[in-house]
Amino acid sequence: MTLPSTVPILGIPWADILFALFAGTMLASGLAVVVMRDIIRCGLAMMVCFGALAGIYVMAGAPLVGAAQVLVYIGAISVLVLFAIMLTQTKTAPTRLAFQTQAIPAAIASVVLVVVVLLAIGSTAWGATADQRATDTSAVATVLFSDWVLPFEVVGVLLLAAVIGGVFLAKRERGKDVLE
Amino acid sequence: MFEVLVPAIIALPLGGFLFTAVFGRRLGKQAHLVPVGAVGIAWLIGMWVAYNALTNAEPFGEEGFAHTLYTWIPAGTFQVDAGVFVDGLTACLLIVVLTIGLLVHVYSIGYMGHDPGYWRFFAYLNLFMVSMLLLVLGDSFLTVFVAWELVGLSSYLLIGFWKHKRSAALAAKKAFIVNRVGDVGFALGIMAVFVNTLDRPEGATLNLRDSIAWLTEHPTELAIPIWIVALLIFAGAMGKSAQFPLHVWLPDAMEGPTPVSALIHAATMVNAGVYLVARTSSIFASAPDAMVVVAAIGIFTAILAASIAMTQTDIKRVLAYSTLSQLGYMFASLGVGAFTAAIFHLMTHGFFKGLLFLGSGSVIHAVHEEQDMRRMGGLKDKIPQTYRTMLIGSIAIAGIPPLAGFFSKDEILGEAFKLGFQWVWAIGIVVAVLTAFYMFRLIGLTFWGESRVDKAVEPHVHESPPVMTTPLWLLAIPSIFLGLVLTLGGPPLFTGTGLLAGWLHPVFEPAEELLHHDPEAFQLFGIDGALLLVSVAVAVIGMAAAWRLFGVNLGSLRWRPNPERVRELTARMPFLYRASLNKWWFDDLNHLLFMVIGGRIAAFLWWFDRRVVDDTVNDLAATTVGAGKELRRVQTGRVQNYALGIALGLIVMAGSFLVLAAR
Amino acid sequence: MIRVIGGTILASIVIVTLGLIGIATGGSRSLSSYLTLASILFAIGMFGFLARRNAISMLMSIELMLNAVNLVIIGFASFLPDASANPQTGANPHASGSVIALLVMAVAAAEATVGLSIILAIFRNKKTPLVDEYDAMRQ
Repeated sequence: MTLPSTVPILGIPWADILFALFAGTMLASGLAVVVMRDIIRCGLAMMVCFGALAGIYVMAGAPLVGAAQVLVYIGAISVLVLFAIMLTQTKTAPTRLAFQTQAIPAAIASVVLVVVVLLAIGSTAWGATADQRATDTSAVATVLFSDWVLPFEVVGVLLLAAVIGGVFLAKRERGKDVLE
Repeated sequence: MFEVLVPAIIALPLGGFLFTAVFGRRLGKQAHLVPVGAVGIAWLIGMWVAYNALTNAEPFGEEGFAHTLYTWIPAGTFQVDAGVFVDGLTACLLIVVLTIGLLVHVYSIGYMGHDPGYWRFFAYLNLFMVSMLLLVLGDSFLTVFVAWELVGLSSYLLIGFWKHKRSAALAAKKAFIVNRVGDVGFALGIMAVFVNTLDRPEGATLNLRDSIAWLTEHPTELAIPIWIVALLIFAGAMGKSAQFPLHVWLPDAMEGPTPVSALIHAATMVNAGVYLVARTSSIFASAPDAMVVVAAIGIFTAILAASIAMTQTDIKRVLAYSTLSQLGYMFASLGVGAFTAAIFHLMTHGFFKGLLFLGSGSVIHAVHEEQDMRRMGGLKDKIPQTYRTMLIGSIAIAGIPPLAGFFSKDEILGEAFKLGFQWVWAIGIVVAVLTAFYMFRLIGLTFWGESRVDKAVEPHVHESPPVMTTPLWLLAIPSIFLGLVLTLGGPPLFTGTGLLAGWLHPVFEPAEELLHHDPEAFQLFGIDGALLLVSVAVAVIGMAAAWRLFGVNLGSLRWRPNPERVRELTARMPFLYRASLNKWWFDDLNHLLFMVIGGRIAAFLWWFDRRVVDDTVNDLAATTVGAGKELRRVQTGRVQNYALGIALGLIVMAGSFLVLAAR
Repeated sequence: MIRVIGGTILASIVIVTLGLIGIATGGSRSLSSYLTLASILFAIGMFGFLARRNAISMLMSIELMLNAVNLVIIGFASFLPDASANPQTGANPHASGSVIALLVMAVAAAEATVGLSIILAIFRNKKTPLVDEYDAMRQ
């Protein structure tokens, strides 16, 4: 039995349901990241957000990026963040306010920004947008090493510098922290 | 020769002043030698110059002798020269100033002998002589004004000579300030003269003769009407010669040493105003209304001062008010157009008032610095020379013939009556009665009757040394004879064509022509005789009234003083008595107007300056500081606050793009 | 147990509600839905950056913002017409979008590394991860 092209009652394509699921998860977990009190839970919500985002990437026709998203963001950056949370724990942290006194102006600013951007998006004629291409991975590889080889190399150097810098910054000083 | 001699008259006392100012302290008791010597030589030169000027010898002639020393202010077509001018009027003033000045200098050797500031006194006296001589010898309004101010300065220094006495310092300040008020008028007058002479073909000028001639020749075409010029000049004279309402400084000026009172406030400085009006007589003659003002103020001052002198108990105060009164006579005389009479009275008054003041100084010296007449009395035999000379002076001022005062006073009153100013004559007669009365009251309280001197002082009362009594006698001689001398050449008892009139005729001729004065023949058995008798009669009445109340001890005429009658009379006129005692409350009025009300205005202005003006500036600064403090709170040091700012900027930019793109 | 079920139900409701945004803007085959989602995610990240006190929360919010940008890039890349191919190499423009997204990811990783190291270093000094206590530059 084949599925109908659209959901029976609602008349929405199945792909859109999936898309909606991913989108909702992404936004909900994004809110959870910025709102929740316990920072560990924020980190975990962030991982969920990244996962949903990876799904959206795949649906947008960029599977390589989606894979890289999972590997890099969920696998590396989120873990890094969780390690940092562990290392910067204080005893009194959970009982205090999560938000600053400028939270309300920040909220207002965020809302206004969304409104402005949505207005911009809504008022633009995007032209023929029904077309959507799935990206070939080999095409990505070709472009990466032909048009974008310089940024690629530079990013490599950047990562090296970041690693060295991170190690240096986080290094403990000899003999100083023994007494702590 | 006179180009050197005339300036030398000024230069000698100037040298004396400078020498004494620099070296005086070291000389101690010898400090008087140079100043007195300088004035003595100046006297000799001055008398010689005066003799030549009055006899119209060359180079004086009828017009007088003018000599320019150097060009002081060259300013294009306007030029002020520093120079001297000597004519008959100058000569008369020179005689008075130099003679009395020399005698006061000699007198001060004795009077100020014990004072620690001996050298300072002579330095100031010489400075004063310089100023006064410059004033009478100067040939331009500006020179006269400079000398005017210098005289005021010398007066200030001399009144406040005893610096440690607060009353003296205040009196000096008061004199200077009240003078200053008059000086404003004088300065405005000079400026008016300058403005009026701008139309002259040779350019503007402040030379006395040239500017006065120009103003009198074109009285109706002047930019500033001539009566305004006359009144402004009179304002200056009012200040210097203490006419109402600027008279308040003269009685207080008695705080200075007695020689100062004699020299400055009887004989010379207060005459500067009279001299000024006499010098500019043709300007006044061109403005008859101004002359009426002068006469009115003059005679009013005369009676005001005479009424106050009746109740004063300080011997010097009585003489001060007497001076005010006689100066009023002089201005009344100028105001009615009797210029020669005014100068006559100036000369005679200088001598007998100088005599009276120096005499009073001798009395004060004898009773050990006591100035209250209620604690004197019976001094006739103890200080005989002082007594006799003061008696001579009193008879002179009361106007008893044939002493000097009679001639000059009768001349003024007679001219006033004949020139149509009968009201001036009437008031003048009343003043004559009062004058005789209070002068003999003074003599009665001081010399006659029982001694009321403090018992501790009485045994030590002694006559003054010759250095003080000689000037007294030397002044008594002109007091007796000057009237007779200056009226030589005319009918007896008449001053119209006497010696003095002859001297001053060229000076006042333009003014008298303008006023259409015809010298009438003297009618001894007509109007002139009648006026003469009235003058003598009132003088005798006043004198007799004083004798009745305060006693007399002249040879065989002895009446006892009558204090009960005095008290009875004062009880019958309480208001007049109190008014007279309180100097008609003018000092209180001045205090109210200027100190109290003026003080409030000044306080308000101070408040205004502090709160409105200063605070505006301060608030501006405070606003800036406050704004800075508030704006500083933006710098919280927290990155998130700064990030919020960035976010807001981002929103604004995005929104603006959106709005602009939508158009 | 009740809490778990209650939480799950609540989460589902929220997810469905928010997912409606995606459908409302046109579903997966319209560009504006990707852009809308990305902008909302960006705003959420901005709010978190400006409002949270913990430094690591701020960093997580930064990551959200970067991801939103990535989504925009991918979105535009997949809706480019063919005609915008690179004339020189004949490369596929869609591929460029992916490459850009990958590079952004790499940079984000580097930045997260360094940022967290800094936070660790400051934490050792100040003994607190709360940024409103880092006010040494305060006037």
